[in-house]
Amino acid sequence: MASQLDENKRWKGVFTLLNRNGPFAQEGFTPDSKDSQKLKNYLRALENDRGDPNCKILVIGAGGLGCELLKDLALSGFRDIHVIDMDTIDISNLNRQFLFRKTDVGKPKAECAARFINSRVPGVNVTPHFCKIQDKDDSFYQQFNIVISGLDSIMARRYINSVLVGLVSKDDDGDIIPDTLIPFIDGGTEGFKGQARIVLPQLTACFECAMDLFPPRTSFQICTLANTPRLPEHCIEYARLLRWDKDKPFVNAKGEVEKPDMDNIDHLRWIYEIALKRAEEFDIKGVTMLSAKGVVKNIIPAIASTNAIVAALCANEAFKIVTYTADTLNNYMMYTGDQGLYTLTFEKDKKEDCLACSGVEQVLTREVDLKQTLNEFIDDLKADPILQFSAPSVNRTEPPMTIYMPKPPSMEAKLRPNLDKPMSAFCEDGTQLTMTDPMMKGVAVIIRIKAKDPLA
Amino acid sequence: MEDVEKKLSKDKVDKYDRQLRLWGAHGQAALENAHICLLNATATGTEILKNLVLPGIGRFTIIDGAKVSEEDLGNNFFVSQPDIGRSRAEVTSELLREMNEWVQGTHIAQDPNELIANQLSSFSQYTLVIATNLPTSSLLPLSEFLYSNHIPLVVSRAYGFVGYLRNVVPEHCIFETKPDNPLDDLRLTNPFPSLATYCGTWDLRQKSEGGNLDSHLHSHIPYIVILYQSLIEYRKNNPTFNPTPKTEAEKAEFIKIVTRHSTGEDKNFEEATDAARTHIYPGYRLPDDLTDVLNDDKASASSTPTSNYWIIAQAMKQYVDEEGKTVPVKGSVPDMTADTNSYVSLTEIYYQKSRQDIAKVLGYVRKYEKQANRAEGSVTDEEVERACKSVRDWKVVRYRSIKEEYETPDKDSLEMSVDVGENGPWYVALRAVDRFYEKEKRYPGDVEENVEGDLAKMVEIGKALEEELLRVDEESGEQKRVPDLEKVLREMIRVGGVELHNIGAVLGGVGAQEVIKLLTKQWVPMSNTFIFNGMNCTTNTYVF
Repeated sequence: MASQLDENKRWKGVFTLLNRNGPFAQEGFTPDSKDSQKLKNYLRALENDRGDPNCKILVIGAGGLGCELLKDLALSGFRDIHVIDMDTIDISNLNRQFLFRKTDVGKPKAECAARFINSRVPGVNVTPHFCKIQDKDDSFYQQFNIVISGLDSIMARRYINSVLVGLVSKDDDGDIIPDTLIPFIDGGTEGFKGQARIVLPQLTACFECAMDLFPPRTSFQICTLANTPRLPEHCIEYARLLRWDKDKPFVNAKGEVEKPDMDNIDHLRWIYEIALKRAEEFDIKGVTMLSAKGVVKNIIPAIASTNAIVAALCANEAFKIVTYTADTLNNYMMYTGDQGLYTLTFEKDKKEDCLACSGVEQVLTREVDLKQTLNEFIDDLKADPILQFSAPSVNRTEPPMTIYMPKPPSMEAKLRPNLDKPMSAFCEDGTQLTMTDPMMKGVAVIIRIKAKDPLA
Repeated sequence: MEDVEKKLSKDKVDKYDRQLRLWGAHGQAALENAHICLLNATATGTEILKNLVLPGIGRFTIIDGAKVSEEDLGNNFFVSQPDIGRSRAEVTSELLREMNEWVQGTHIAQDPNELIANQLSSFSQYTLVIATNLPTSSLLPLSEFLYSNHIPLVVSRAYGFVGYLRNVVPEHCIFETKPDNPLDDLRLTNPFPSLATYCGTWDLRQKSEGGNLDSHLHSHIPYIVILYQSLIEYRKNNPTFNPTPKTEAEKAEFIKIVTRHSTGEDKNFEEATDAARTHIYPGYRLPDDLTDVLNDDKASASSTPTSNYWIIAQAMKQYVDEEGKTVPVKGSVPDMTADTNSYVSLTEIYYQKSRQDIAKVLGYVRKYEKQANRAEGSVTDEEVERACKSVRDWKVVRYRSIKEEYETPDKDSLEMSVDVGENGPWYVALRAVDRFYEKEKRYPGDVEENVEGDLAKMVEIGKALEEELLRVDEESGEQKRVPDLEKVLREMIRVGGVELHNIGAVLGGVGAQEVIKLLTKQWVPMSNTFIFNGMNCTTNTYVF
């Protein structure tokens, strides 16, 4: 069927720009001619006897941004597209993830998305991967010419960023070997706001360089939840964070206490009812199932239009990177559409001391009260705006000692008692701790402890 | 958040959860009551419609005379290979409808230009019209008709790497503009009686100073109480000072009073110091946008209201005049360090006041409703309540028509738009393309043989446009020019009329979002022209 289509007619739009030079094309742009179809062949990953390489593109995430990206890339002329997503489809996805239908609920997103695009756009070959990004090794990522992420978590972005940064090799003169540099395009949305950026790993600002644009979410103070609630959110979080551990409302078949699972409707209902009782006790109005769900699941409102904009911006950049038909975004664009339409395009600078891409192990000094427990120290590092660790491992550099590791479970169980010990048990003023975090592959951060003067 | 679960079916609440958190059940109802018309099922047009079908507009009608071609398969997601040769209106409406079973969609397989020429009045059935790739000769009569019938029009086009969007509606009235950082109206500089009574009962002194509150309660006195009492004392001590601190010396004096009873580490006293900046120093003032609405002719007591909005505006104007130039209190209190009892008491005080205020406004609404010969209750209590709660955010936007834009160009705007770094030159370039098309009935540079000759024609059109849109420089006596116009026109020739999917998809998102704002009457639509430069990835909005 696909072979019957006249590709020159179908791709008239894209090919016109590949065939014609223009005043805004990139320097070095050589338009295709009848005898030389280099750009077209590369774009469409076509075999050819000239030995030109074929373009392979990876989309990370098959959700709100991912669905849009797959459509946009397929209709830009890309043919060899891979998509990776570990999630299955939920009913609340259907207001924007348009490759899925009600009958797909429960099925893997990557597989359904690939199937839809492959059937709608003749000749495209989308290969799905239903797994976590951490499940793939370096050799998987190395095969791609461009990686575009439409992820919904900062942690996942930091991970893939560290992988791509780590793949870059330099020659003996210290210059980047071009084939090892994979352009990384990243998009994100929230309600009416969004952003798109291009990262050339080790060359331009990476995702980690821009961590200051994403301050950690502040949580409520425990004393407010425990003693002086004022808002419905306080009552809801009281139920989830304080009462759950006390009441242990759900026990599984093995007799183990279940952790709160916010996708479990029974767990949600229990939290709602406790929150409602507490609200009534304090005369606070506004606790509903909907608001309870929103608070405990940290739901971010999402609509099709914002995802459409950001994904199309990213796909447009991928097209220009590969074809040179016009200049590319340099290198960050922010968008907001609730009050009029406003965008800001600017160049984010590479951070000299970036944890991921500076190429040098970073030593950060942190003032610590040596009486505080290791657990409190780790919590501080989780809230630290530059670090925002998720589940760090702690090692002492000199004399060497493994202080805590969240995995594997056997090690964790053995080292768990250390969490309640004071920091003075492991360090003094000047001690260096080496920290790693699963969120940043191949990155170690050295924390130099500066003892807080208890009399200050 | 309003109780969406009471107003919508469980299926809808589940599926639309993520969007209901943005626009609520009343916003969803506005979408579901809409019948949208799309002219030309181009890539851009279908992408805009896609982002309206997914959130659940009520109905759409696609008008397009074209047949699905191979070229469509290369940029349009809503056609498929077996459909080549079929009506593009029919095919795209099928594939769009298929995405959401609650949306009705029909098509008219006819050239929109014909319909505009022969059946213009048929457009009065639509709530809003989206027009893509319409030639000027059709756009002008269509937009005039819609404008005089108060039907919003959104015009859009993707041309190579450039995107264009234009909103057109004579008047767009908004209660809920939902600004990012809304100002709470705590009424501290002109308190109402129940607030004054409550705040006056507190003794701010620490126990060591003779006060009656233990240290926990003392450090949890709400900053509203602290600021209220501090302002009373400030005014008593300094009758010659401004009634609210204005100079640096006055502010310092005020802060001294505020922090007098603080232990130095109390969060609530810190919050009071911060809050003074927004709730004390500026005094009480109505926002400019709101004042504009209330001063509008249409809000005067004798005018005949053209919509519920203006009935409510008339009512609000009377309220403001009779209540000493104040507006209804919002009824909620921002979170602050406070013990539960005092926070809840304060919330109750503001809430009760807001109920009283809303009741007064409702009384006036019924009066103006009757005066306008409208059925009682045709303006619902819910609508009035929502309008009162967001009264400080009201705004009315008026858009120039396309006819005005073309016949009386706004030269100030245009000259600013072609400054260095601006994307105005692309607007001029697209106008040149439109002119070329009107004359030659094809796009410039459509085939290789035409490229050179067309450039010469475009340059000529460009010069004429410069003379129409820009002024003569007063000092030099020379015609102002669009910088690099020839370069920009060359790019238009290069494009040869093609539409890239990605640019269409950006406009699809932007356009749909503008339509949503126009239909729900929440947030603020763009005024009035949007240009997307897909080369350097920048955008600008201009009022033309």
